[in-house]
Amino acid sequence: MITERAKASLDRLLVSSLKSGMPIAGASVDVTPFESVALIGEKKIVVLTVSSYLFRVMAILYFKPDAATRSYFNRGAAHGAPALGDDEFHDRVAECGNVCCGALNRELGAHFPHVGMSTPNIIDKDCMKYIDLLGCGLVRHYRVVLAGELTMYASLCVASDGLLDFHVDPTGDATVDSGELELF
Amino acid sequence: MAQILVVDDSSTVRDEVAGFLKRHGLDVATAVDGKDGLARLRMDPKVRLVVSDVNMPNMDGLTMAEKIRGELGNKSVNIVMLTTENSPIMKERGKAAGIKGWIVKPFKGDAVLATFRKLVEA
Repeated sequence: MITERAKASLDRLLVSSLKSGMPIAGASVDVTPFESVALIGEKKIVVLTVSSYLFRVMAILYFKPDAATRSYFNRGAAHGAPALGDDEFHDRVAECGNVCCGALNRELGAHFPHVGMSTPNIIDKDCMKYIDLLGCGLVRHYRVVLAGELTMYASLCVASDGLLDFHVDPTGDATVDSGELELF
Repeated sequence: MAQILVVDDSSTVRDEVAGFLKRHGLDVATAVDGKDGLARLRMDPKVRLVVSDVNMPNMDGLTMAEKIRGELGNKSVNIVMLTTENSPIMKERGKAAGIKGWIVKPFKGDAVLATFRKLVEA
């Protein structure tokens, strides 16, 4: 069972991680709830998992391998740089998912000491048909508009093996500053 | 010229980090995972700084750091982890392996360039 305040906290953390991890080269990002996975036309997804002994959180990014999406993930490249090939494009989308889920993992790690994160996996969106088999107690979908023109989608799916209850202060800052070198 | 070895399974990160450091006049090599990084260190005595991801296939970055100190007996190369992880348990393991620092992704080159120069010249 996942308590209402835990659901709200997970929702808040995912939105925050999308806002911090999705912008490339200073692009704007707007994240809003989206009603149904059935309305998402993208054919590919990046799946990452944060797991503990108590729960499994899946963060899913849906994407199209079209020119607009390739162009977004090539933002910041030198003028006249060639378009991204398939391998390079998939790696960039996967790394973007990795950075988003990494932020989620760090924030969850502040509440649950034994969490571990997967590496990104790119699979067909058709696999989402089977998400119900995992018995998720929380499934939410989001529309993500990048740079005011590219729309992608994301999902948050959480399966719990027991009572999952925690609270994230909606006014609090992220617990970690990214990019800074911590010297030992 | 002393060299920096960037180890990451993501070509995006390898290109971003290596590209930034090269544009600032540093000599950079890359490796795709810990096993590859270890092999390159065995072959190339010029490497003075290793910048490595943690979660990678074949061999993770912390295991690579432990093997650099243990199997290779290399006490002089500086090691910095560049990762989405921020777990205290992982950091303690890294410290025990003698790593010098920890950066949470995404990479912000301007924030670390001066320290990287010192570490590569140390």
